[in-house]
Amino acid sequence: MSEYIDMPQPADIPVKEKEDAMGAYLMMFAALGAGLPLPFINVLASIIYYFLHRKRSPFVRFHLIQSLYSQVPLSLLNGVIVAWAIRNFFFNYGFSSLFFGLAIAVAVFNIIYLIFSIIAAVSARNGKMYYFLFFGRLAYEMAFRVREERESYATEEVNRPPV
Amino acid sequence: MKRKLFRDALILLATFGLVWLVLTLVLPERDVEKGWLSEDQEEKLSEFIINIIEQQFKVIDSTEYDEGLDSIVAILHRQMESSKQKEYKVKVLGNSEINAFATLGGRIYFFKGMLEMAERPEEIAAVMAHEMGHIEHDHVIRRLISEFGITVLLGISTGDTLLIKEVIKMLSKSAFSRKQEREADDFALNLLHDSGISPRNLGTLFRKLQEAYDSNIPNVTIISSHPSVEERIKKSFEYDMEDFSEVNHFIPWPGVTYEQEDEESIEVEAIDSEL
Repeated sequence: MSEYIDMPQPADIPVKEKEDAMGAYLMMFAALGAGLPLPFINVLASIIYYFLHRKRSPFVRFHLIQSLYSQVPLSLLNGVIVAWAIRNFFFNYGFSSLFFGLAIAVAVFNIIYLIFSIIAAVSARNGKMYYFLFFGRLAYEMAFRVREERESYATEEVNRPPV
Repeated sequence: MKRKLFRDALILLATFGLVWLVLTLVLPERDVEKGWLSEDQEEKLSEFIINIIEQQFKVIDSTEYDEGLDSIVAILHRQMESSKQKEYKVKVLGNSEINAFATLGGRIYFFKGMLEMAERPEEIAAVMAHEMGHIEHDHVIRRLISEFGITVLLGISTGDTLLIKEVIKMLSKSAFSRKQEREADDFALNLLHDSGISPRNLGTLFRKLQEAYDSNIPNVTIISSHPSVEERIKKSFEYDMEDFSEVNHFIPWPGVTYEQEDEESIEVEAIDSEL
């Protein structure tokens, strides 16, 4: 038996699951607008979304984990920029090239991330996998690897035809 | 799997680090202290502010003081090896207030009241050295930025009269921070010492200001309630004079006459200051 749960194919995945998987990415967009000055609000929204849906199929779980985990480092960087800017502005430190370099680099990565998130959301809606660099592999590992407890859950027959 | 995860993480980190590094190197080096303001912008701003000041206060043609002030500038500027300012310009404003202030672009303004009170040119040199200290340490531009913000400052040329009034008021009336005053004082004491003018002159001038205002010191830039005047006078009088040698600069000043026997050195000094 394989170490990993079989890949579900688009035709096997119910529409509800596709929509929930897509929601993992869209959640971030909604929260991003609300919490722009505070970079952790989108992470908070994603964490809540994750806990609401994590008991779903590996397909949904994969997209939840990929979206949530990839937001963490980027949000940390956004936080660093905001904190650094506040320090510079209110304590008269001035803005160095190092700061502007980081700010632009972070802005570029944010834009790239948004583009990839949209692609991932569309893929999820179509019942397809979409792997981000590093986070895709990590999420696959976490969502699809066969674990003891999950195995028992998978094999246990709860539903039976009427006797 | 783990190895590939590790590889992916490395690729991500390296890409980010590289982008940051390249951007940092590509971006023009900025003056960390002054932040966003480019040299060009600063120049325009200072031109505008100078115009406004000279419209608001009456610049007087004070031939009696001009020569003296110019030679003080020359004497002090000669000792400033790494001066940020190419040249300093001093103008006299026809106001009886006892005050002096520095603005952008190496401009220093003296109110007539201050010149009349000082009596001796060495004391005016002390005030000038103090104002030069503010300029050399970028206090003026930094205070303008922290008070008004860069966007507002750059928009000043739109002619917002209320804003212009506030800027002028801040430059001529309000005091710098405690730390900045101390920096300017230290700068002045050292510069006076190097120029062969006794640093004690700063103290005696403060003493005169104190008497002129009858200990009820208002907020004028040169002297303010903080740091305490007593403390600043004390610092001037306690300045280490061990290796100090006084130079007689023969600064031309109304009411001050120098003994004629030293004619030769007067000529040398005159040639010096012309250079």
